[in-house]
Amino acid sequence: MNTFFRSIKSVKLSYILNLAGLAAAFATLLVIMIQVRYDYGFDKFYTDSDKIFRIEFKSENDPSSPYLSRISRPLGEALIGSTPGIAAGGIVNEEGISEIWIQGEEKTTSLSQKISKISEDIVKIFEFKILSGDTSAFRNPNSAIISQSDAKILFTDRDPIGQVLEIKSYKYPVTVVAVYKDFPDNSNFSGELFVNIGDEYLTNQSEWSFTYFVKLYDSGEREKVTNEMKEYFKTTLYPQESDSISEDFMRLSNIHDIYFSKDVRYDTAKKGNINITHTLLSIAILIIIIAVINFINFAMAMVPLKIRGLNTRKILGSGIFRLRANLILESVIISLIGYGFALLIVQYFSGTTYSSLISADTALAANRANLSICAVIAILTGVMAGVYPAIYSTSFSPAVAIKGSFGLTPKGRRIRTILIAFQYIISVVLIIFALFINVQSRFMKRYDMGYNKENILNTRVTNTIARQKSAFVAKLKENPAIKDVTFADGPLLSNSKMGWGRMYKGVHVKYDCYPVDPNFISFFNITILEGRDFIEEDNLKSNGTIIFNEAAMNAYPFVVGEGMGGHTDEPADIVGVVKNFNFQPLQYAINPIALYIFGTNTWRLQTFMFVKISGEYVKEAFNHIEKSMREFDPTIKDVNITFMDESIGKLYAKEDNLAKLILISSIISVFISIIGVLGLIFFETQFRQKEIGIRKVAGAEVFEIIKMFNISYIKLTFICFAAGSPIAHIILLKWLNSFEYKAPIPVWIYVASLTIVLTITVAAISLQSFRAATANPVKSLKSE
Amino acid sequence: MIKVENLSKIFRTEEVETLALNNISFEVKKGEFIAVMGPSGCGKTTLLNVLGLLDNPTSGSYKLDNTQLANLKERERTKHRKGNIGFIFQSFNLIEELNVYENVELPLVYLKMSAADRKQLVNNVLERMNISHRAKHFPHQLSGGQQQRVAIARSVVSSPKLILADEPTGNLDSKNGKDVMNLLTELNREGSTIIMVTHSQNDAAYAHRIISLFDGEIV
Repeated sequence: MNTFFRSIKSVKLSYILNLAGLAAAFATLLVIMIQVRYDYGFDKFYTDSDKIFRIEFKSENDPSSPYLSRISRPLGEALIGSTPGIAAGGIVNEEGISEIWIQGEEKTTSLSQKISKISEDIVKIFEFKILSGDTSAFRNPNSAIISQSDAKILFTDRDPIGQVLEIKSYKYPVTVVAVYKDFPDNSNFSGELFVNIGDEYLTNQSEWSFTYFVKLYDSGEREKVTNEMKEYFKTTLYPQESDSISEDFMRLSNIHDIYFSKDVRYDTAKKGNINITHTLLSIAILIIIIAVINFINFAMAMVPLKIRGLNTRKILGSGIFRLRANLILESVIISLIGYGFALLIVQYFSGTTYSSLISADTALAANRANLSICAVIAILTGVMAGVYPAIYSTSFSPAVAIKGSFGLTPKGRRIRTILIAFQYIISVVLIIFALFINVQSRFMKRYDMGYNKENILNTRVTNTIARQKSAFVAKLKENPAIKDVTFADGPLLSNSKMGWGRMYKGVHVKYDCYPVDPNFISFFNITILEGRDFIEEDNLKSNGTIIFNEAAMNAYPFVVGEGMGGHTDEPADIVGVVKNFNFQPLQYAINPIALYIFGTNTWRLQTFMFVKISGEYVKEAFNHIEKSMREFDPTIKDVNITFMDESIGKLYAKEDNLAKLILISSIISVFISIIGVLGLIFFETQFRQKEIGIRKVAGAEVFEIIKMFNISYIKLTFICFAAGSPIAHIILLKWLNSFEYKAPIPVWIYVASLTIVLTITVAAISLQSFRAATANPVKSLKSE
Repeated sequence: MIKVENLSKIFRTEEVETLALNNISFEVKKGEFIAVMGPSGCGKTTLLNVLGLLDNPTSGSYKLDNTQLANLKERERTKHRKGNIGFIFQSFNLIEELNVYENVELPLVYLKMSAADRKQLVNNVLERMNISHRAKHFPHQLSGGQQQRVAIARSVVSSPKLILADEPTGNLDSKNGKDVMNLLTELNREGSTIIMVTHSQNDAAYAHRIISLFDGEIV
C-alpha cells in the first residue's frame, strides 16, 4: 500500500484526471440509475402488480382507431362480472385538484389536493395500507380515505377518523373513514383524497369518462379473460352489433405498461417514455464503458512506470498471483474513491434545480438500493480496468523488463488509440443525438398547429365568472391591450377532451367533443372548409351545433346540413367543417373532433378562457385580467394566467428534460473522453520528451511540435466522426419513429458535433503539449 | 566566425548555484576544427549548448558571423539554429519511430523545403555517408557506427555553417570511432567549421586546435 500512495504522489496529475473521469461517470450513472429504476419499477411494487389491468376499448368498427382509457359505468360494471377469471374490479374517476379543509376551519388550515372518486374494491385491488380507521365504512358516497401526509397537515395530532372535510368543488361534505399510507413516488396515485363514487353515472350509457381496473386471479390468464370479456360484450351486452365489431376492440393493459403506453386516448395516468428510459440506460452504459476505457488507458500508461518495481519484486520472490491481486486491488480502490467523489457530486446535484430534470428523488438517503447497485458497478469497474494491465505488466520476463525501458510500444499505443477512438465515436453519437433532440423539441413548439397561438393568454376562470360571461368580457375589453376573448371547455391543446360515441347512419362513431364559444373559430383563425362558422344564434338554440374537423369527415360519413345525436334528445346540427388543427400534443396524430355549441341546454359552463392581447402591453393585460377576475369573483385565491405558447411548451417538458439530460450526459462523456486523451498526451509527451528535444535541435519550432501532437488526434477525430455520424443517423431515424411530426435532420448538427469534439481535442492537446514543446531540449537529451 | 566574450553560465536550483562557465572568451575562424577538452563537469557540454543555441548564457556575448546571439528568445534561437548549426551527439539521438531516410530528412522538413529537394539532398548525403542501402531501416536495426553515420548525415544535410559534436565517438568501438573521425575531418576539409567536445586525446589529435576547460574556465 505504501508504494501505492507513493506512486499516486509521483503522477498526481494523471491520478486527478482519472479520478475526475471516474467521478463524473459514476455520478451520471447514479442519477440515471435512479431515474431508470423509478421508471422500470413504476406501479410494480404491488404484490399483485402483474395481475392488475386497466380495461381499454376502441371504436368497435374501426380497427385503426386508438384505444380509449375510459368507458361508461354500466359497461365497466357489467364487464367486471362477466368472467370468473376476474377477482375484483373497480372504478377510478380523477376529478382534478380542489381545496380541502376541515368543516368549520376554513380559515385555519386548508390544502390543495387531487380528488379521485373510487369504488370500494379499488382499495383491495391496489393494496391500500390502512394505518387507521376501517375501510368497511368506505361504503357511503360521502365517505373518504385520506393519505397519511395530508392527514398530518390537516389534523396534526387529532384523530382524523370521523372528521368531516369540505371540498371546494363539491356540493356536499365528506367524512374521513380511514387513513392510508402514502404510495411510493413511482405510483400512479399521488396522495389524492379518495371519495366513494357511490351510484354516480351508474346507468348513464353515453358518458364514457371512467377508468376501470380489474385484478385477475392469475396473471397468465390475461388473454383468456380478455376473450371471455369480449365474448360477453358481443353476445350479452350488444348482440345486435356483434357482426360489425372488429376483433381487437377491447384489451387489458397492465398497470406498469400503462405508464409507458402513449397510444391510448383520454389517458391521464402519469406517463414515462420507454424510449427515454432506454436512451438513458444506454447512455449510462456508454458512459461507464468510456470510464472503464479511460481507466484501462490510464493503468496501461502507468505500466512503464511500474514495470521495473514489479519485476524487481518478482525476482525477489513475490508470487505473480499476489502481484496481480495487488494491482487489481489498487484499481478497485481508485474506482471506489472515484465513486466517493461521485456521491458528493450527486449530493450537490440533488440540491440544485437540475434535479428536476428527472422524476425521481435524487437525495442520497432516498436511494439506498441504487447506491449499493452503483457501488457494485464501481467495484466491477475497478476489477475490469485492473485485470488487463495487471496481467500485461507482470507478463514480461523479469530479465527483459528490468533492463529495458518500456516506453510506448507500438502495440500498446495502438490498443490505446483504438480505445480512445471508441470513446470518440460514442461522444460524436451522443452530441449529435443531444443536438437533434433539441431540434425536434423546438420543431414541435414552433410547429404550425393550424391555429394562431401568438400573444394569446389562457387561464381557468371560476363558475361565478363564467356565469357573468358577457359582462366580464365587456370589462376585459375596456382595456385596449385586450383584443379578443373566447371561452372553451378546457385547454385547446390537451390529451383529455370529452370522448363521445354515437350511432350515426348505422355506424358507431367516436370523436372528441370540445365545447366552445361561437367566436372560437374566428378567434384562433382556424380555416373553415365547408359550411359556415358558428354564429351567436347557435347559443340560443335548444339543441347543439357541431363543426367537425377534416379528420372526422374522412373517418365517418357525416354530412353538413344534417343532424346527428348531440347532448340532448334533439339531434344536433352539423353546420360546417374546419381544416385539421392539432388539438393534442404533437406526439399524436390528428383525430376526429367536434367543436360544439351547447345552446340553451348547456351541460356545464365553459370555464377555460383565452384572451388575445396586443404584444406591446403584456404586463397591463396580465394585470387587467387578474384585476377583473378578482372584481367579478372576490373569493378567487390563485390566479394563474399563462401564455398559450408557454402552456404548450409544458406539454413537451418531458422531452425537454430528456434533451437536457442527454446533453449533459454527452458533455460528460466528451469530458471523460478528453480526460482520456489528456492522460494519453501527458504520458506521450513524457515518453517522447527526447524525441521532442531531437526535433527541436533539428530545427522544429514550438508550433510545429504542437502540430505534430495534434495531427494524429485530428485525424483520429475525423475518422471517428466518419464512423460515428452514420451510427448517429440511424439512431435518430429510429428515435424519430416515436413522433407523429418529425423535424428534418439538419446537417449543421453533424458539423457542430465535429466542431465541438475537434475544438476540445485541439485545445486540450495544445495546452498539454505546449509544456513539452517549450521545455529546454538540453534536459531531455542529457538523460540517457 | 565565432566570437565569445566574457561568457558565463550559472545553473540555479533552490539550494545550489553552479558556475558552469566562468567568464570565458575565445574566437573560432571559419573552417577551423576545434576540440574542447576537460574533465567531467568542467562545462564542455554547457559551452556546446550555448554555442548551439540550445541554451542562453547567463551573461556575456556570443556572436556568430557578427550577429549577437546571447539572450535570444526561444523562437529567435530556433530561427538562427535552423539550417545553420548541425549537432552530433554521443548517443546518436535518432528518433526510433522514424527510419534512416526520415531521420536525416528532419532538418530539411523544418526548413520547409520541397519534397523533391529534400529527396535529392538526403540521397546525396546518405550516399556520402555510405549508408544509402540502409535508408529504409530503423535505428534499432543498425549498428552503433551506422547509427552515428546517420546522425552525422542528419547534422550536415542542410549544409550548416557550424557542426557541433558532443563526444561523437564515445559510444563507439575504436574502428567505428576512427571512421567517424575521418568523416568529420573530411567534412572539415570541405569547409565545415567543427567544434567537438571529447575526452579522447586520440580524437582531439584530429583537430587543429584544442580548448581546454577546467571548472568553467579556459586554461
